[in-house]
Amino acid sequence: MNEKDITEYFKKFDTLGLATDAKMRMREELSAFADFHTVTTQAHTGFVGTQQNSLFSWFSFTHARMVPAIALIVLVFGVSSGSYAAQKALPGDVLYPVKIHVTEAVRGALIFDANKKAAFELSLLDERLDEAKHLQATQKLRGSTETSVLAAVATQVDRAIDASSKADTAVASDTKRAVARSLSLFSSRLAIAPTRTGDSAHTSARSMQTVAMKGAQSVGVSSDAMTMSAYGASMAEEVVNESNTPEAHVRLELLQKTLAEASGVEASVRSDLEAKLRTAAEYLKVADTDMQARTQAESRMHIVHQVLDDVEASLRALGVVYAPQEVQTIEVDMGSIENLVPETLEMLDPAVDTDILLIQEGAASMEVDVLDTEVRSFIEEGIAF
Amino acid sequence: MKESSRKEVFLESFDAYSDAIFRFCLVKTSQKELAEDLTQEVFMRYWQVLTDGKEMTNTRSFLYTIANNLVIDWYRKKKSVSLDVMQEQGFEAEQKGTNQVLDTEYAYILETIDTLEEKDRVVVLLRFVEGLDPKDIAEILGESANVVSVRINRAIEKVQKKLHI
Repeated sequence: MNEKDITEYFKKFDTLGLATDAKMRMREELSAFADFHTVTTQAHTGFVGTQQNSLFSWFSFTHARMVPAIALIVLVFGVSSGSYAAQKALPGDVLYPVKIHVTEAVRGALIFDANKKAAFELSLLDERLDEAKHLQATQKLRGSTETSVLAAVATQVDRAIDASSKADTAVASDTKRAVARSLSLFSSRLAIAPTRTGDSAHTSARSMQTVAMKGAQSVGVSSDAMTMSAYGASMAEEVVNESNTPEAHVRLELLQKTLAEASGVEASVRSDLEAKLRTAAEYLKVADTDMQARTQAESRMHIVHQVLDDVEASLRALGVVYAPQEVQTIEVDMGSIENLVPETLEMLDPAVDTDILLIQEGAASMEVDVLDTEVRSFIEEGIAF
Repeated sequence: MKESSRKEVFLESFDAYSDAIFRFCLVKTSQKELAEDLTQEVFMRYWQVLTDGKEMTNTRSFLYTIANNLVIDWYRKKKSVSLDVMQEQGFEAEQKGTNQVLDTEYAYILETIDTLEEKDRVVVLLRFVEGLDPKDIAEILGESANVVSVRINRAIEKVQKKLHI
């Protein structure tokens, strides 16, 4: 065998390469990686653009070189006090650029999975909204800070949507819905806050609300009826989870009023928002009924348990042996379970979930909750029905 | 270089060489997923070098060199983990199992390559699969051309023995 033969022999190996999907994924991730590293080497515009003071300019100019250095420091020393403090920084703070350009950028650069990336960008949007909430609460959301915060929120909405477009379909739609929900909840909270406190920054809140609503619109929430109802549901769910329907009613009314009074809102946007509020109102009505039903059910269950306790105590007092039958979990060898006909099993004992049996067919063994001792012995002995 | 054209060059290089770099990492490590990770890492490093403004005379050789260094790093890290720990974690089993994921049509070639020493394996790949000159191979592996030629000859002998030719 000479070199030529050997080349021939190994030739087929030449066609071995990355699997197509792996290659596509890798290409996208590398493309994003390249974009990210291109962005960080350029001076930052936009977010701090409107309020660049000397310190900000200095940081924007030098941070491109500092990113690797600071990243290294973070890696070597773990969560250093500096970056920890930066995590809590708000727009306008000295450490804020460290937070967004270093801490978050380093975290983002280490995420390659498209779905995780979408979740990450979504978490950053929530972070931006939290920052705005803090600023709003301390009356600092005004002037140039307000402009830059609005810009940052808008940018982050774009990033989250962009990241979601690269994720799986289900993740993408969840992310979009979450973006819309975050924006909407946020804007409605802002709308309430100044009214409650009588704050004069009501207009600021309203402009934020308009941005948020437009953001929700751009996400395409209203165009899809399915998403729309899910959105209403999630909103109602949030309200119910807060166990505070009176507050939900207040919010709903406020939003309806705000929308009715708002000028300069496009007709299509307005009708979308009105439709959303109607959906929320409907869900709220259902939620109210559910809440009442739940309260009633809880009180009834309480009575049931009281009666049962009473009967149990009476039986014990009478000296009657009382041994509650416990659900036993047994391990079933899949070799023997193959002989069992699921329907028969189900007929004998509804506690056996035939779906689970079928799903886990590939497993070597599984655990089944079985109430009936007879059925249990059948399964254990592997007898076919 | 403009950012846009730089990125184009970068992605073109990926399209042209990612499979070859993957094969290289695969032959060196015998682990498919690890080889994929290493391939991605190679191109990330390549991008960093590109953004530093360095001009590349031979992109392919450069990519192989990065890959080779990364694999060496990986071997060093691997050695620092004790054998007991590795076995406890089922490392051995995983290592053997991963090649099964690959198409069976490559199995016989991989089997042949596996009989070679790691150092010879990569020489065989670069010489016979990728068609590189001994001089280029020497540059990538940081060896002399003589050493590479010796390895090529030794590998030919072993392959002949294995295939009973």
